[in-house]
Amino acid sequence: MTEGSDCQQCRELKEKLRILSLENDQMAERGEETLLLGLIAEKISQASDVNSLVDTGLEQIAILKDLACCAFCLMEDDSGRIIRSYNSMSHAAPDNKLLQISPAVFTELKNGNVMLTGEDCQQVQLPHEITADMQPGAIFMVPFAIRQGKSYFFIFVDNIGDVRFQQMRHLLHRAADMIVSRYDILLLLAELRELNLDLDRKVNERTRDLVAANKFLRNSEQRFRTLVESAADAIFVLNDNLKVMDVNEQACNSLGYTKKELLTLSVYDLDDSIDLAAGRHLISEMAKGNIQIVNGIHRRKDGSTFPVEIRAGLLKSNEGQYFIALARDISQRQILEEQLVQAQKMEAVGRLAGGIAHDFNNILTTIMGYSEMALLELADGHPLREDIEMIKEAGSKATLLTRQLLLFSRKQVITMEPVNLNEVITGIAKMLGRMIGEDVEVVLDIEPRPGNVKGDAGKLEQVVMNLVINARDAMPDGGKITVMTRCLPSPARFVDVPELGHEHTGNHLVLTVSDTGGGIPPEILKNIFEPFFTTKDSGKGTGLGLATVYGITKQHFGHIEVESTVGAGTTFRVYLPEIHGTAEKDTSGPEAMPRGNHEMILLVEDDEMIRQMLSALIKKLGYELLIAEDGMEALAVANNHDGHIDLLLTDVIMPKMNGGELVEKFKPTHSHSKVIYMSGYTDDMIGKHGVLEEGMNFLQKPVSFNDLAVKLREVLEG
Amino acid sequence: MGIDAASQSCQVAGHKMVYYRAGHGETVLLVHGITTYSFIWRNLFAELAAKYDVIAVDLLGCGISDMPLDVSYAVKDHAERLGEFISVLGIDKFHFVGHDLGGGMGQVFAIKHPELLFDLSLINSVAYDFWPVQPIMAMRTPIVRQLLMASLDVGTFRLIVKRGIYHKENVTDELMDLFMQPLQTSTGRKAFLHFARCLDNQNLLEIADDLKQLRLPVLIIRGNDDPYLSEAISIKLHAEIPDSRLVKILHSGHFIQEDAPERLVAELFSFFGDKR
Repeated sequence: MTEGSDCQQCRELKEKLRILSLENDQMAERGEETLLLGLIAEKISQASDVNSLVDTGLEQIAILKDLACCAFCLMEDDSGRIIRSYNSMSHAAPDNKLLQISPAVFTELKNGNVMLTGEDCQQVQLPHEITADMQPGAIFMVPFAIRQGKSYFFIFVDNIGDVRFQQMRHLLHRAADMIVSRYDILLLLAELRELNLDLDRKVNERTRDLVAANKFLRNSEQRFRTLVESAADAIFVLNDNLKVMDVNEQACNSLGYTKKELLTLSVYDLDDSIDLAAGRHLISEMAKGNIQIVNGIHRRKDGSTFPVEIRAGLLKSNEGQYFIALARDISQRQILEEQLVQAQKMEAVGRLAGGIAHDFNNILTTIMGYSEMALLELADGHPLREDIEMIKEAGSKATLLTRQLLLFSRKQVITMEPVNLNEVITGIAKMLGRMIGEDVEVVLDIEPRPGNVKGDAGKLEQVVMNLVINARDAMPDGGKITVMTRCLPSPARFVDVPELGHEHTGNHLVLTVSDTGGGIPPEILKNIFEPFFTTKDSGKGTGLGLATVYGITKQHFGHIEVESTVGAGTTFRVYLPEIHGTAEKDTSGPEAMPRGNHEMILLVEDDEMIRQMLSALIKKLGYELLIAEDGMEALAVANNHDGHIDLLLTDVIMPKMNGGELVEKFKPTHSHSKVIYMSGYTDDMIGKHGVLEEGMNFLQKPVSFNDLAVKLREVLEG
Repeated sequence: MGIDAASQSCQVAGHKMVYYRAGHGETVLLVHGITTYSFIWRNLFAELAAKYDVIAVDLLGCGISDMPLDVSYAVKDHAERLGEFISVLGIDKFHFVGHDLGGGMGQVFAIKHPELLFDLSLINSVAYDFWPVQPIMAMRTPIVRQLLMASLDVGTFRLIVKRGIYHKENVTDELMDLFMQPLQTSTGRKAFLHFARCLDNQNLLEIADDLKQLRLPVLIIRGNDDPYLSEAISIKLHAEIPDSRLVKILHSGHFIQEDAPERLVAELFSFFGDKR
């Protein structure tokens, strides 16, 4: 081979090598581009937000294409605002900084890609952070419009700006394109997320509101339920067939059904007084909005009934027509009403009885008076004497009867005098017998030694009467009542009675009333002395019997005890302090009667018979007498009389002016005169303690001769 | 898991440099190269610390040291910073052990401050014109392009690492995590690329003659299966450095610390101890 041909070959080989190298480079370049796009595609598909998307994209492009810096900017009026950027030689992030762009370039940018080289680069002023100290050799800008209507652009900066960079433009555009399309999607996703969040927030708010409303409603419902459940009245919710839909606890308790059972029943099952017609009427009235108030009779599960007052009305509801009914058990109220009626009846009876007794008293006074006067005139052994004695005895009995009447009407006032308890008992024995009936045996076990208590015979009669009546009521099928008196030394446990002073002997008279009835259970025993406490059916007792006994016992400075065994019987014991002194008997003879000394007595009495009789009596007793029919006349008579009037004996109940008023007018001019009041019933005389006021002298009608004589003497000498 | 010791730091020329230190005795400074940081010494650290005062440093821009981009990451500059580092720590004399570019730094340092060194150990080290390159066109160089890609793509990085290790089964996910750790952030990636761009064999070429005059014991270790740095480099080094020893370790790649850590330690101990 020649040298020339060697060189030729060499040259050819070198040329081939050069071309191959070039092709290799180009292939490598192509390879790189593909790689770059592939890498970018891979990375950006992983980016979850626009910032990391752009950051990653810019970094990859810059590194793989060896760019000095690049940025993603927003097109503003006449400049660019850097959104994200990458600079291989600096960590700084000039986000939000402005790129100054010349108007010409800016206009060009709006229309398409812009490639600037050499000095043209100065038309774009990059912030120092992005360029460092580098002078850009070439700048490539790619604009985009993104869905929100805003315009963005990428800017790629190379510090040399040679052909290599210029050849990159297509690749850069494609890379930027990929980034932008992902950007769009991410923005969309972000918007969706935002909307979702907003929706979430709204739903949460709504839910919170609902939960709060629910809670409020639940609380409200809770409160309502508590109210309903704790109500003392039975509450029912009914449907429009009056079937029970809901009840409260009281409803269950009062009727003896469980809630479950009640929910199967209707009003017609529970109330005896409401039939279909009544029910229909109720429904129609309530539906109009009217509250119905009716009385009903509820039947318990066990068949027993009780009266109720029902208030019912429409229950507003979105779910149909319902009614709400409150039922109040009024059996207690009825009992009280009956007791009130009873008490009123008693009072009426009492007034009647008192009225009758008053008239009787006056008549009896006449009968007694004249009988006594007649007896005074007749010597012993006179044939008429026996007859008159009979009249007098009849009168005495009548007197006793009127006393009983007054006792029942409770118009007795307490007068504290020595009373023989045994005589009190024997005096009413017959009456007791009449009241008690035949199937109950009454045994009197009287202490032979007489004992006196200080007190009011009438009241003590009441005590015995009430205890015996109680005992009888405890034995509806018959039995035995024992009435016993004893005189015993006072037990140490009794309190002394200072009011009686030195009169108390240290003994007590014990009145015992026992029966063989059913007895009283311990839990009731402690309540029996309470007023209105009664175990009897309504109408059969006011519950005042034992309370009265208790009260009277206390008024007499006594003590009462009760002992009972269920199934065996009950025993009441009344302890009353024994006193010295004796009880006065009504049957003292006329010889014992104290006589007058011609004292002047002014008698005022509106009843003619009594007036005549008393006049005769008083004169008989040896007094001087002035008479008047009423208060007015009495004052006139008193004024006209020259001499002294020693005593004014006046009836209390008189027309025009009663005894009290008369005395008021009389006293000023006759301050030294004594006064005795007379009356058939004495509650007008009652002072604060149910006892006669101090200094008031009193004669109870019917007035017996003896009473009159004694009283006159007593008062005139007192 | 990197080095099993607490990290410490100090200021060197206004930047923070992080290091790991343990043990007592003569100081041994372990210097890594490109693509690694202090972690690469973890399999040797404890053993070395048993007999020496061992320091494994993170070069600026690597590991968790500061990563300024306005300073040079060239071999010469790193070597200068290491000098200041040693001075800040108050160390008078030490054993320099460098891997890869760290070896290049060791050479520069040995020429400049031979009085500070007991000896120099070069493990799969760069030298001379280990690649022909100019800074600005660095991107076009295959190895650099590979590094660029590696910074962006763990797959590429894994390839680089796998190629550099003989016992490929040791390339676990945990190991890749360690390699990739500085590249997780944009900052770390920028620093890594800056290091790559600063590759310039000029620093090493200019000390070629000085190496011939070096009066320091030098240990040259080569993993026989290193694909990145040819055998020629270690042979030439051995030939030109007077007091040098060449050790070839079979079945080891560029990252001998992963392939044969015990052998490395043994060679180092033997080398350090020889001067008694």
